[in-house]
Amino acid sequence: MTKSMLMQLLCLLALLLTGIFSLSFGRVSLGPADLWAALSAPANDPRAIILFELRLPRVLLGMLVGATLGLTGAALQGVLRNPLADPGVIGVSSSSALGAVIAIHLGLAGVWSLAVPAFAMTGALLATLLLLLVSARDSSVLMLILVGIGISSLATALISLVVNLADNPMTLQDMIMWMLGSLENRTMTDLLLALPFILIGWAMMIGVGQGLNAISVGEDTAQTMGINLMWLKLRIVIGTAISVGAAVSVCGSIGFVGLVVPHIARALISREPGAILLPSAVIGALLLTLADVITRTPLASSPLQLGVVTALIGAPSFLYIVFHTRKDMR
Amino acid sequence: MLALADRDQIMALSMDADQGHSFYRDRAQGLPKFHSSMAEIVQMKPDLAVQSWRVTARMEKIINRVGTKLIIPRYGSDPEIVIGNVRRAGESFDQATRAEALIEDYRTRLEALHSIPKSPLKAAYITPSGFTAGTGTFVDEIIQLAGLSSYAAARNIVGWQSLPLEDLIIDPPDVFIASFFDTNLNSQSEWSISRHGRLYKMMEDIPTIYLPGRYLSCNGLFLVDAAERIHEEVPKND
Repeated sequence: MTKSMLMQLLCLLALLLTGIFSLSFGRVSLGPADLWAALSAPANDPRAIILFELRLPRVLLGMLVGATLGLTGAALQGVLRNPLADPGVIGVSSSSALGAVIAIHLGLAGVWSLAVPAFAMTGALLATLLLLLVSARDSSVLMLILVGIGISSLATALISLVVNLADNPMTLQDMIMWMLGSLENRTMTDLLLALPFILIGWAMMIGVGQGLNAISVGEDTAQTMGINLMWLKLRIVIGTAISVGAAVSVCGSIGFVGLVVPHIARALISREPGAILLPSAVIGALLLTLADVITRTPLASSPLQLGVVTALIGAPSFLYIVFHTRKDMR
Repeated sequence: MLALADRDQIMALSMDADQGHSFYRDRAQGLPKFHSSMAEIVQMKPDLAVQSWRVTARMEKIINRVGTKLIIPRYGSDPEIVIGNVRRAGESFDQATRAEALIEDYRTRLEALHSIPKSPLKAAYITPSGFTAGTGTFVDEIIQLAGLSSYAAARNIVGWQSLPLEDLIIDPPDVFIASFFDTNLNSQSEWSISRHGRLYKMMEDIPTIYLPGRYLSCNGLFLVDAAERIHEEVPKND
C-alpha cells in the first residue's frame, strides 16, 4: 500500500469517526448505547428525534457541503492554475448570498420556510448563466477570473445595499448571521433541496482529473495531448457554480474550506491536480464536520457560526501552508 | 405619549407608531409621523421631544437651542422605572392627573397579579428569531407576574438568548408563550429553531399562548396587560 493510499484511507476513517462523534455530541450527549437504542426506538422517543431529525441531517449536510467545497476548490485551483483560487473566485457564493439576503429583507422566510434557500439558489444560477455566457465567447483563465471578480463585487455591493436598507435590527441580524454560515437546525428538506444540484455539480467533474494533470504543464501542451480546454473549463466552472450554489443556499457562506483543503490534500496525498480531487472532497467533508462539532462546544452563550469557525481554522492553516510551500509557489 | 397626551398636543410620532408592534397603534392612526431626525425636530420646534435611545449630548444641546425640551425615559424592567417614566412624561405634557390615574391603575393591577397563586407550570418564551428571555428581562418578569415559572430562568439562561431545540425535546416546557409571530418585525431567522418543523409539532402538542408582539415590544405600562393576558390563557387544572 502506498503512502498516498494509506493517507486516503486514514482520512476516510477520520471522517467516519468524526461523523459518529458529531451524531453523539451536543447539548444532549448521546452515548453509543443511546445511539444504538435510538435506531430501534419509537419515532417520539427524544433520542430518536434528536438523532434522526436534528443531528443526522446536520451531519450529512455538513459532509456534503464540505465535500463540495473541497472538491470544487481543488478543481478550480487546478484549472485556473492558481493556488489562491476557491469557489468564491467565480462569484457564485456571493451571488447566492445576495439571493438569500433579498429573501430575508422581503420577509419571505416567514411566508415560506424554503424561501431563503430557493432565492439563494436562484442567485447562484443567475451567476452561473452569466459565467456561461462569457465562457462561451472567451474561456481564457484571465477572463474567467476577471468576470468572477466582477460578479462577486457586484453581488457584494448589492448585499451592502440590501443590508443598508434593512427595516429593523432583527432583519439586519438575520442577514448578517446568514452570511456567517451554519448547519444549525437544518432538516432533511434542506438536504433534499440541495442534494440533486450538488450531485449534478459533482457529476460534471467526473473524468476531469486527466485534463487537470495535463493543464498543469501548460495549456498548449494540454491541447497537444488532445484535451478540449474549453470543455474542461466549462465543466469545472459550471459544476462548481451549481454545486456550490446549492451548498451555500442551505448553509450560508462558508469560507476558507475550498481554499485550504486542496493545499492539505497536496501536502498529504499528491502534487498532481487530478489526483487530489476525491481526497479534497473527503478532507473537505472532514474539516466541515469537525468545524461543526466545534460550533457546538459551549464556548459562548450563543452557538458559534460555522463560517466563523472555518475562517478561524482556515486562515492560520493557510498562512502555515503558504509559509511552508513558498519555494514551490515561486 | 399616546397614553398621556391629547391628540392635539401631538405634533408628530415616529414612523412605526401605527405598526403591529406598537401597543397604542390604534391611537396613532391619523396622526402625523416623521423620521425622528434632528433636522425635523429643529424645523418643527416642538415644546417637548421624547427620545428613548441614540441620544447624544450634542443632539440634546442642538434641540435645546431651538427651545425644545428633550425627555429621555429610563430603560429597565423594574416597575418603579416605568412609574417614574410615566410620572415625568405626565408632568411634562401637563397631564399629571392622567399620569397619576394610569399609575394608580398600574399599581392596583400589579398588586392583583402579585397575589396570583404561583403555578408550577414552566413557561418557555419563544420568538420567530428563536430567542427566549431569561433572568433580568422584562419578559421574565411578566412570566412570573402571570403566576408561571420561567423555563429559561430554570435553565440558568440570563438575558436574551437562543433556545436550543435539543433542550426543549429532552425537557419540554409545560406552556409556550409565543410572541411576534403576528408581526413582520421579527423575520424568521434562518438558523433558529423556529425554522424546524419539530418546534411547530411541539407547539401543537404543548399548550401555546400566542401573545401579540405589541404587548412585548418594550417595557411600559402594558407589562400588566401582557401578564394578565397570559394568566387568562394559561391552561387551568379543573
